[in-house]
Amino acid sequence: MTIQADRSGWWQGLTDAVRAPGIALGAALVGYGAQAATNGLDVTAMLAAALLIWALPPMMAFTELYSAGASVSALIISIGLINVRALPMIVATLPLVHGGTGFRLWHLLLAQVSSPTSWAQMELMHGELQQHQRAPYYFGFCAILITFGLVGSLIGFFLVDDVPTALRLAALFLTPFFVLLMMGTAKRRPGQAAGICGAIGVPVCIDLIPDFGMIVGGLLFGTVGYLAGSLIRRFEERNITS
Amino acid sequence: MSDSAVWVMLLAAFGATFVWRAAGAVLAGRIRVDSALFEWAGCVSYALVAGLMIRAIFFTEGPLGSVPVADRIIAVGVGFAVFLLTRRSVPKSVSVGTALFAALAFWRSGFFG
Repeated sequence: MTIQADRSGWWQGLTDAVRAPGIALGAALVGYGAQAATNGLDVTAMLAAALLIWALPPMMAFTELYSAGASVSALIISIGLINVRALPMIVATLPLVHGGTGFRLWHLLLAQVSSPTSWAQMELMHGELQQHQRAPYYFGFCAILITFGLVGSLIGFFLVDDVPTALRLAALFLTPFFVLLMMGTAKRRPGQAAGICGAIGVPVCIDLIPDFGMIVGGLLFGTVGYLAGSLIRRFEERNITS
Repeated sequence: MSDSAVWVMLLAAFGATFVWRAAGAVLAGRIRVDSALFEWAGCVSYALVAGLMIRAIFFTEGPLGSVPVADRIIAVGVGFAVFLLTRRSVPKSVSVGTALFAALAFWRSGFFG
């Protein structure tokens, strides 16, 4: 019997995540932990936010909104809008794990632990695994991502005051810059245009309309970006065909 | 902000994120994710997140706000240049941008003499 045959899906998921995916995610959450400490969250709330929200953009938004003293209604709308993007990702991920069967309650757990990293990994490994191995593999992979993410955020949270100021500032810079660049990987023109419009317009809206500037800015500049990007895409397609 | 207020906000944030996850779990395999509505929702999300992250880097009242704006512009600009030159490699561009940011911060603190 080979070592490969002995390995369960769970174990293979664990070992695959311990390499680059887990390390990259842990590093990204160092900045989240540092940001949370700087914005006044305590360690329990910081860890709970990571576990309950489990998506870097809304996690970062949560710490920013908390420090800004946003109202609960503004927070729900803003975080809800930011995490709409989780829906298509989960719609694409879950059939790769459970094989496209009807809805079961435990699928909510699959959805809660999903992330762009686990989606990309399941796309990669889907053909390599037999159906009975996929859910254990996915849970093993996600367990390591979550563990590394929490460890990274704890490192950022506790070391933020004990390292040289330059490194502390770099940790605070890392995660928003990382998330900003992730927005830059949008494949379609409307997404790219919306990112650029939002980067310019949303901070201005937040200054002009203190309570709901973010929501207004997101809706306004997201829509402007969508329309502009759609026009550019149509123009490009027409040029290709003509 | 009081302790209980943090947990109220946290539960609200959890609800606001979980609702989409639950909808995704229920709808998995049954809906088209390439519709115009989905694309628009994605655009709103891109605009919101990009704006918030720009605010966190350039318009923050926290410790990052004490760093000269020129240093932040240089680090973000060089990082973006690497991003474009490396076919949009996030790890490479984040590493270069953050390392440059740290180097500038060390330089400002007199670390290099």
